[in-house]
Amino acid sequence: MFGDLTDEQLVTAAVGDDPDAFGALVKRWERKIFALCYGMLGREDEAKDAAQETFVSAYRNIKNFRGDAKVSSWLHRIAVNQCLTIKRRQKARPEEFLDEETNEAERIFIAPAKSSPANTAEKAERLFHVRNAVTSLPPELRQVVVMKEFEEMTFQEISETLEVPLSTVKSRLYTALKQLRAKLDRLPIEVA
Amino acid sequence: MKEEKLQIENGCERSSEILPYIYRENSDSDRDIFDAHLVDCTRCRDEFAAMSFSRYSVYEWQREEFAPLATPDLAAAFATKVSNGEPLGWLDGIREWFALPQRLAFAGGFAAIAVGFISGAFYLSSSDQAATPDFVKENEVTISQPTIDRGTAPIPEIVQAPAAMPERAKPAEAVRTLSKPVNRKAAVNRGPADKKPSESSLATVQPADLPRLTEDDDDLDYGLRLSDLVADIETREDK
Repeated sequence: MFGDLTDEQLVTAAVGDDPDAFGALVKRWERKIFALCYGMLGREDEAKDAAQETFVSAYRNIKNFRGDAKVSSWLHRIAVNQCLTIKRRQKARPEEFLDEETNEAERIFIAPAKSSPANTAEKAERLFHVRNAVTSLPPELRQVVVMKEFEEMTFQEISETLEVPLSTVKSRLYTALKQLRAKLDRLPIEVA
Repeated sequence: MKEEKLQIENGCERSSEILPYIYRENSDSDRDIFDAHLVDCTRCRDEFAAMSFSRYSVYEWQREEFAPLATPDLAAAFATKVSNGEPLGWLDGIREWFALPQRLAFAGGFAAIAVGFISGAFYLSSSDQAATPDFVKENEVTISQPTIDRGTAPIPEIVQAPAAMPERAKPAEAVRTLSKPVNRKAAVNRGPADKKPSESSLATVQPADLPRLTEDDDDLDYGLRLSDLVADIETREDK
């Protein structure tokens, strides 16, 4: 129903008291906002909370959206502010995160609680597309992605291993992520 | 390797900090600075969001499909079976029995080398004790293995048969009698008919007491004896 509408049209519909339009907007952007929060916070549980707070804040302020910027940039700005709020909260009360930080490596790999058949099928489809996108990368780009994401090597280690300059490693990884984004941009995905 | 600054074409000078920020390879202070920059810079914020999405997609793929996979143990397949609780075949059992942990195997090898070294040292020390100087060895040979002159009979016992020699000249005669060549073979192989020896031979020579190296010794003994010399001297003096 809302699949053909642009982000701006969805916002306009949501401002006109159409809750389904805002739901469609959330469906379209929730995974990307979650990924941004994860990139800033580094923890899935906190990233999920930050993404939730982002859309709550967007819904409350949707009438203030003036349209002079893209919806995506508007959502990104709200998300960044939510992440910084969580970071400040962590710094103000570090004792609450003391135990959690020790198990950070374990918590990152905790599987999401959602395991309904629909979510499972959707995740399987999403991973299928990601696999195809990664394997379709040129070998020199895929090599850097694998070393960074799978081997968890630093840029310096990759540079020494491949015997290429550090800037080349970053450039290849940047190019790889950019190509992956282009291939994954149209996929209907939601927060895990 | 010369460091060149990565330039992401989004028009912002700080765009090169996006990748280290996403992968947490910058310092905490740099992260705080870039946090503030993300609030103000729309281009870096959008770029960061796009790259975070791509990165998380790959990360999720890795986590879902690869992280749960067990690392295969290609070096010792039977050890994997043991760790998995699977029953072992007899061949695997033998392999397992011989497959010692590396440290234990190293300790066993070291112990074997040490035992060998100690045994060697003990053997060498004992052989040193057994070995004697050459001059001592020569003396020992002289003492323990006296040269046997086949031509000389054991005279002392024979000389000490004085019962039948009352007079002074008798010993000389007796010695002279003894000095005659002795037919040992004849004495040994003497038949029953010849068993009646002369008195002088009975008094002086006891065939059973004579040492016999072998029965094939020379029949006659022509050796020069000290007793013969003494007898000659005494005979001449008597004359």
